[in-house]
Amino acid sequence: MKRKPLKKTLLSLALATVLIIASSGVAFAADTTSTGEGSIEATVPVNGTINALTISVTHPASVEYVINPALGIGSAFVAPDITITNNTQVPISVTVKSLASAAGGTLQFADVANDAYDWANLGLDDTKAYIAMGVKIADDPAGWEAGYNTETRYAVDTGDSMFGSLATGNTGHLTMVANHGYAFDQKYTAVHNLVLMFDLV
Amino acid sequence: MKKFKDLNKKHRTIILTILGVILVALILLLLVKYGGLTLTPTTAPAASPTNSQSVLNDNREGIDGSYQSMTREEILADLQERQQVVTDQVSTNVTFSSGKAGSTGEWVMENPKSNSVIQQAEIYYGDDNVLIAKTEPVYPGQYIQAVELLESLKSGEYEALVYINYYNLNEKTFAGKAGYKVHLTVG
Repeated sequence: MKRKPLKKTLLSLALATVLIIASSGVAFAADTTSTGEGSIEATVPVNGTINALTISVTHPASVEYVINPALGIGSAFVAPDITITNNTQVPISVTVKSLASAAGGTLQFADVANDAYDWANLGLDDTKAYIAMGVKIADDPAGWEAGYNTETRYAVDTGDSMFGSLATGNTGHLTMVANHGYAFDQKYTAVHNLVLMFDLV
Repeated sequence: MKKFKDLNKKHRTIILTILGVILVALILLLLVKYGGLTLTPTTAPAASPTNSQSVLNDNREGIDGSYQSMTREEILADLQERQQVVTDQVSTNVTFSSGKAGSTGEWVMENPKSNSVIQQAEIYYGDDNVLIAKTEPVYPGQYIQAVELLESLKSGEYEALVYINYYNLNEKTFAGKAGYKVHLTVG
């Protein structure tokens, strides 16, 4: 078999490469030719698409509490901490939107101010009628960014109460507090609704 | 009357005695009925509860020791065990290409498989908190990516509030809610 001269082979290869590049639509710098004398400027637009962030928080859906007068004056209210974990890729702020007594238990308290009554000496009827319930950042503020709110937000207060912010991956704790009477004559259940609001910092 | 006089003294006494007894009985009857008089049988006074038995029946007895109610730590542990924890995953932007009521917008909310509640979200807008969208119930392991606009809105960029309501899986009863501030884009 007669061999093709090397020169011809290289020429064919170069021609084929040119044809492939031309037909492939690959635009080398596409599309704009900058000409001029000396230094010239070329503007290359960089277009981006930015998607909205997903905010993700882990927290209790509801909080239960117990009032056990047998535990003594000042110690009878027991509630677990409200643990909040920020799974978002950026910091979030935590706000108490509302805290209010609600129907659904065997008795419904009226929310009153913390100093509204001499709680330890409250009679049967008033004990079953009134409570001063609040929420605050736990005594151990681990997880909360500096500048967090140290005040207690009571149910009788109105408006939003921003408590603080949590960095990504951090967990912070809120604590329920309450002043109440002690003259309970049977087992009761009561409901408060706490609404937390989460927002990008 | 003459006949009565003719009777001997003994018979007259008997008849008068019988008539006297009948008269007394009649008077008593009238007093009972109209005079408020009550007749109670004479019984021995009831024995007081403390001395109903002269000898103690001690077939049963109390529990030795003093009663201990649950400690604070035990109550706390019980409450913590019952606490229902949820994880929310929501997009921070809701986009409607048209502000016409009934149009469909893009918004993603995922209810992770690890949750034990059903989630249903409501989106509110403005100072009057107008409900502009409400999702279908989203079970654990499900997500939604579209919402229907319930009220017409003008084009623009707004702030909106998303409330996620939680419902127990079995009883479908309300278990709580949490809120998120999101950005609202209306084309």
